[in-house]
Amino acid sequence: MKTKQFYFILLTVLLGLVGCEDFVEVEVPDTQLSGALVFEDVRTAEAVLVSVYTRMHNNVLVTGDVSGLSVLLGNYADELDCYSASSQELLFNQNDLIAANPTVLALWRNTYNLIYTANTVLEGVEDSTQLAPTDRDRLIGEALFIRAYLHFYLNQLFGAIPYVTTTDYRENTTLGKQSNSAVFALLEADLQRAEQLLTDNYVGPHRVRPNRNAVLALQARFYLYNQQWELAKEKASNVINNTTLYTLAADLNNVFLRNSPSTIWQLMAAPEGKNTLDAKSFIFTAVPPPARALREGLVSGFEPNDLRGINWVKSVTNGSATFHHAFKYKLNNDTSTSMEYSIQFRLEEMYLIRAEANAELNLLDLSRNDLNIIRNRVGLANTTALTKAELQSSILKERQMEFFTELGHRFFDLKRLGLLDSVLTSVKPGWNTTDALFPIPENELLLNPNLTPQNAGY
Amino acid sequence: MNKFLNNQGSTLLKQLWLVGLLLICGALHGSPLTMWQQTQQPITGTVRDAQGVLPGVTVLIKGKTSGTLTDENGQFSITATATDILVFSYMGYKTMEVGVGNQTIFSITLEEDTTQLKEVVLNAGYYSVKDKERTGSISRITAKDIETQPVTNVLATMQGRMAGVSITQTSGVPGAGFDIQIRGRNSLRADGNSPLYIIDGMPLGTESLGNSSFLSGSILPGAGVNALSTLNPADIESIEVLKDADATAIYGSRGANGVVLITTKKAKSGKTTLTANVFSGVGQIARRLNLMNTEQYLAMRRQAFENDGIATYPTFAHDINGTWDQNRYTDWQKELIGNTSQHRQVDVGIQGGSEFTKLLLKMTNYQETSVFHGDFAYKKTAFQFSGNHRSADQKLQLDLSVQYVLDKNNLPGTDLTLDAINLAPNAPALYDADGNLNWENSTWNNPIRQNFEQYVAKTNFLNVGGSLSYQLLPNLEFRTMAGFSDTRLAESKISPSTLYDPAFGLDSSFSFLVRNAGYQQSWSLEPQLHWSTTYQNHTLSLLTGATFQERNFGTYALQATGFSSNSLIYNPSAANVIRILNNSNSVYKYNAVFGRMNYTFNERYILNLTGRRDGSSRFGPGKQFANFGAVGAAWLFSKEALVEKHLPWLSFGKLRSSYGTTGNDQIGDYQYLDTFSSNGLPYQGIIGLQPTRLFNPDFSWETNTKWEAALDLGFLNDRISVTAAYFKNKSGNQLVGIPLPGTTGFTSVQSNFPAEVENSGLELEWSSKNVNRANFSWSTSFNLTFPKNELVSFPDLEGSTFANQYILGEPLNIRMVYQYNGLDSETGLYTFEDFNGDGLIRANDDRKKVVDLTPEFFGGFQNTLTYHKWQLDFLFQFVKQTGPNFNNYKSMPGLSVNQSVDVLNEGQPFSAGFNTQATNAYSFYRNSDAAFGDASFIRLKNIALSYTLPTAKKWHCKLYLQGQNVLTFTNYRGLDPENYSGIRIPPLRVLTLGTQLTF
Repeated sequence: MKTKQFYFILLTVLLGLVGCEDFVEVEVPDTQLSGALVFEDVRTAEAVLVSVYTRMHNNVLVTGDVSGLSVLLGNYADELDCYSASSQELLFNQNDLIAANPTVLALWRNTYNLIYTANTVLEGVEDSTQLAPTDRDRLIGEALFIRAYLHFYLNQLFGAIPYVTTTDYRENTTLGKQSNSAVFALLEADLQRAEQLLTDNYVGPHRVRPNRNAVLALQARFYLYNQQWELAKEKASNVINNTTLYTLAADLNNVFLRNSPSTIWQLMAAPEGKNTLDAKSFIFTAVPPPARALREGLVSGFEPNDLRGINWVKSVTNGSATFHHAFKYKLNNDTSTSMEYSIQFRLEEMYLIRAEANAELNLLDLSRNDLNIIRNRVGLANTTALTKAELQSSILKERQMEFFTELGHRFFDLKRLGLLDSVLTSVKPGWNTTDALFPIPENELLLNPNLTPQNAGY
Repeated sequence: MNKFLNNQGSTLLKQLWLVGLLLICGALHGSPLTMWQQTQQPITGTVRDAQGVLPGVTVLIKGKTSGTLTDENGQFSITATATDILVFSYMGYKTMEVGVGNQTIFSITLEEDTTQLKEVVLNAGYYSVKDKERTGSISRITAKDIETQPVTNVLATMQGRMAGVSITQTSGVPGAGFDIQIRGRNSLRADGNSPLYIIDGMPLGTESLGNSSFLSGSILPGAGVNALSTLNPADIESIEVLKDADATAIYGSRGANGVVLITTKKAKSGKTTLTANVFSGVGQIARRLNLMNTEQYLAMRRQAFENDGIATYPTFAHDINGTWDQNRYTDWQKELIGNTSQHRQVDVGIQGGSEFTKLLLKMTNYQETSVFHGDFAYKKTAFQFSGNHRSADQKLQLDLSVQYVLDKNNLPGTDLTLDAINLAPNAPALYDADGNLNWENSTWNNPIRQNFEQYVAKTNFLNVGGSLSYQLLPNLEFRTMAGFSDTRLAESKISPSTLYDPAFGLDSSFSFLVRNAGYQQSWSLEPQLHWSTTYQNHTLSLLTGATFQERNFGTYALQATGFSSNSLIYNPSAANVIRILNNSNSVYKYNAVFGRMNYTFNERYILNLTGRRDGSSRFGPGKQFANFGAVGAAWLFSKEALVEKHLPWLSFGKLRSSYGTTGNDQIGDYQYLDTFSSNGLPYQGIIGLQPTRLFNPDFSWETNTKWEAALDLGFLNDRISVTAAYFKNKSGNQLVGIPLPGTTGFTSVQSNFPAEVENSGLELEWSSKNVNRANFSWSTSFNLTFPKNELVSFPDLEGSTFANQYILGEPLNIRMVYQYNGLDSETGLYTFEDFNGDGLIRANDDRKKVVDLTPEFFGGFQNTLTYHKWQLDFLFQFVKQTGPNFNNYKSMPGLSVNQSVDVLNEGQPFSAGFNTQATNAYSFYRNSDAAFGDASFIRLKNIALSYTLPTAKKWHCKLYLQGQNVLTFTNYRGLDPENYSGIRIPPLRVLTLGTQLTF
């Protein structure tokens, strides 16, 4: 018995020793990079930043894809007819959104995810010790700009929203809605800082990264929407006066090419050979249209001789019926090198912002002047608007014909001018006054009751 | 040496045996071939039972190592001395000992062992235990139960057969997964409730290698290709499910949700036999919805537009504005998901061996086509090898089993069930007159376009499990269990440009291919010492061991797009853009020491202690290790003199109880790290990096305490056995993916939460041999489970993001919904309870009605009847539960979506979607208690009838007819009460006819 016991005790002890704690230590997987290291190298820090642009291009908020504002708000306002009977898009077309709408939820979540990434860059770069000062300024400037740009749209769509400035989920989980004025103050501060940090230089070719002028352009738009006319005028002028970088394209067919001289900032289609998702969304070659077409009211709104009605709209017919699609972006298939990128800001908007601001400031000649620059280049004669009110409505009309199917310009214009009900009620059977704001996604309200109250009408 | 071998054994077997024996025994402990004695006499004889001769009976000489087996005529020959004692043993029969004396010819009749029920030995993982002596809760099914079922997934074979084990099939698509819950839902995380699966000692990694977001999401539910669907049910000998603390604590951190031990078929000694089993059959979806016909549908649509005040039908309303034929009718359920699937299986196996070495080799080929429109098929080819060797002195034992399975699953890109129930009944024809896809002038999205999105998944699965044991001393054994497994998955899905309406003018540069390759390799090594001793009435056995396990896991998915031609779509090198969607590798390491002490006194009082200390790489530094343990006790009171005297009809009685802790580490790898990963997308030539997750470095084990008390009784010589078990399990320190609002940038973060969940329940089992005569027998088994699940504590539930998901004192599986109050007599719209009385219906304030989806009870009722050569098995599965009905997933009546005929007689006025109030009211209705209802069912889950042909004794032939999901009795309003989904195909009804031949 003694030998047995000895064996047993010995082996038990040996086995006990076998359980070694080091065995369960693992390294960071070789396909991922540890957080602290990312912002110590400018290349990896850039890689985090550009992931935001890629996602904006491909599927989030400002994308040309069907989940983006160009398609959704084109339907929601009076730009597009929807021919797809069973799609989410039809709900936008019929102004039939409810708090549980999955597309609205995705819009909200994906946009905040990009804001999180922008905040990661801001915090990571602030804490880093190895980056060169010029790189730091540029990265922080771009991240602030992105944060402001995304919040700007969320605010326009949902009204009072949380303006998120940290990556700390404990704080962000219970963040309540901030009033419009609080959002404006934060937005303004972010943009002011970005303006100081960025320069006129673009990183790389084709203006696919925002520079100082992109910040100015957003500021101009922001102040216009906020009815701060002097500031809107000042920021728009800053861009317009930069004639070495920006001029209006002589040929309308060149406005949406990737090397267009009027582009201030655009999102690149990658890799080389790809073109915009906008073209894929809008173009069709047979009728009736498979998904969406321009509304008849929009197409018939072009004045005779307006080259935009000729160059930017294409009609497709089967002999008996004719339909129209937006033809700003013309390439829906791949080409050997990419020809078109999704434009976010272009110079034409700056002219029209300044025209509107001047009109509001009763500087009617200056206003007409800018309006005519836009009109003349599309083959139209000088405006006949005489009074301030006439000018205001001419500018609105001009903006409609200039920016149709681009990032919901039409909807936001009607909204900021208080014209949604008067314009849309007659053409959209499902329109209600409360449709001016999207519903806060129900799922978000359930997870964070501080987001209540729900917007009116939902 | 040939003496040990069966004379009829094949030459191959002999050679294998020789090589194996020489190599292993020779190398390890010298020659065993030395036990020959003089003064021997040749002895011959025949062994039979009541029915006839018995081949394969082991004949040993007591106290010596020599022995033989009876041949196919039941005959044996052996040499022995007059003083020797012959021992005859055969599984299922009482062992018989006969002194040799002067006799040289023996005629032996073995008696069937009627107490076999309680002699059943259960596999408890690291040890095995006699059923009557176990202190823990273990359920099992065997090959006998599996063989009667024409199914492809191992979990399907267990449905309705085990108390406390709830299994639901999530889709009728081949290769799709099953949900399993053993004794309820312990974890708040929906994906943290699956048990630990162990195949022949080797833990199976159940993380899906598939890519659900880019490839399989729209056809396979859950995470995609399910690891268990690759196993071959025909290779399985038994499945044991360990349920309570006593049985699972030895698995420590992985045992919280129970353990499923799968033992594959092992070779049996005896004559070499060849078995061939072939079946073929047909399948169809078992239930359909009763949908509107064209007339009813169009009337609904017209009414809807009228209600909305729209006089001119819009251009997109093709179904009603005259674009489509108003008289056309198609039964889309029949057209899209109503095909008959063909099922065929061929299974060939050969096995044989001597007392010392046994081998088995088996191959199965299975094929199943789909019920979808189009040509799709699932194929599985499985190979199995099992070898066992024991040295002549019985000291060394070596076991090895190998499974290799290849499966190929070809499916449409999208489950067409939703289209089948949604399409307008007057929607156009699928094909035009020329047989091309009909787009009807761009007025619809032809559902068959999705068949162009071919999804193909190929899986190679290799599992090797083995053990080596050596008797160091008479009561001390060293054993090592070791295993290796390797799974490879290759998935592809194509999306050719033909998927899109030609009116978009898209060419093959828009076609894309998505490929995903996943691998999982793991090894495990578990050295152990087993020691046992008996002293007078005391029996003590001890076990100690250690586990080392490592699993490497990785997936690599790419998307190729921009093809010059659609015919090159499977060739990524013909694409001009290749994008890496995902490239991930992870390592999981696990290390543990474990032990068991079992003490039995007087064969009546049993104490079982188990424990484990283990560490897992899934947790952050300092949090990796934890201790788990359990104590179990049993009292066999039927052996007490008092009971034996006063209760003679009570043949068996045992009271047992156990208490212990286990853990749960199912949280995925590296969750504690703050990392960035590539998104595979270039921008200015830089590939983007994205934050991988929100991280929390501090989380640790989820702990689970389990308590159980049970009573096992046997009556009338164990012809009736009854078990009643009550359990109460508490899981705390919940590891939760805390849901987060979008403002955090993510949907959840992993964290420990001091919430506690209690699962309790009562399990009842009955089995009886109602009739047991020579030509007729009837046996019944029945199981019934009453589960209860409760969230017992949750600090600051109100302030957490779970506030609108859980309620203290209620089960986890609840839905908080609006309370439907009937129609408003004025507006005709649905109305709901305004819980906070603010005059508005809002999700936050008014989704306060609780619908409990936990089953009230579930169980199964099985019978086996034999009459002469006939055998009939049938199993009824039943569940009493509430579930979401079709109101939960159907669109508002009046939209261009077909509806159940039920809506003609109920509900609010139809709307075509121009009345936001109606849309809103309907969306509340979908999320109200009206969208839930009785989903109870009784299902004739399985029926099998077989007939054994009266054939020559050398071979054996059985014909059988089997059915799965044959009949369902339910009041459920929807497709199927089991998976209650409106977008996944329901489980199929399958009928097969087969033949089994044994030579």
